[in-house]
Amino acid sequence: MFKEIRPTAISLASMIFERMFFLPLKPMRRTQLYPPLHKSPIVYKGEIGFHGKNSGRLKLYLPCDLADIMVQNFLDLDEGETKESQTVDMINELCNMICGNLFLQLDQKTAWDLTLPCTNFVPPQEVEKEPTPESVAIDLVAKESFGVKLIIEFMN
Amino acid sequence: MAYDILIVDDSRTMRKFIKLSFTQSGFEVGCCLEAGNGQEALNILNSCMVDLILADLNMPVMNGMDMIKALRKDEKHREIPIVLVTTQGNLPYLEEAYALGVKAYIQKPFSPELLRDTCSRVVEESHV
Repeated sequence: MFKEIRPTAISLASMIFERMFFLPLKPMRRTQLYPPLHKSPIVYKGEIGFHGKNSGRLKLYLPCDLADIMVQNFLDLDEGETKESQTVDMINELCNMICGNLFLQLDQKTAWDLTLPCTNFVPPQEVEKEPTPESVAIDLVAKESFGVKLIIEFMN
Repeated sequence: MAYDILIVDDSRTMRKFIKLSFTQSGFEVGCCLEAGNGQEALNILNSCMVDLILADLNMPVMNGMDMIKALRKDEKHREIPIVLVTTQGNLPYLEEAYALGVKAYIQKPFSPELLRDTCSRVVEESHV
């Protein structure tokens, strides 16, 4: 299952971004020149726990400007009409969708329990932290200009 | 024909998205009630009747499965058709839900057309 996590998570996250937010999402190339996520002045971190054959947490980092565009597209709102509570709610739902679909696709026969998601602002430096050895960290680019980081962290 | 619906999801944004999807897909909704968890839904149903319930599973206070169990024990509400709208489509959950009489399941994310087609089929079947 561990081998399949990275490609499955990339393809699911891309599908969800496309279907729910009408935004393209691609893996970041090593030579990419786009501004990295940690240069964004404000970063949202969404988080959800999972328990099944393995336990752990899925973390999603998004720059504030991108989250704003996603809420506008999700709820068919105009620029400036979005509220912070909607952004937090949308990121919670996004974590829920990525995590739920990931374990559905990797192992449909197991009952994977998900915790209630939560979303907070974090200092941009947190994104630069080295993930633990038991983690899968994926750098992505949304709308060809916004860095997005997805971390799936397993507990021992 | 317009149907009265209860949307049970702890995400206010998702409830709004579901309502928007009904409008975009042309599914006619009469009265659209909302609950943030299973307990709120049971409270609402004490004073209102609906044609269809859309329910998430993972919610605080009372989750979707416990709400469905409570509804099935209740003479007044046991026949209301329920559609699960969730990210947790793993077999053990679906088997339990279908055993409790859930009529259909929609995996998030979904298109407005899938929502419309599934809900239309379920309410039409329940009115036969």
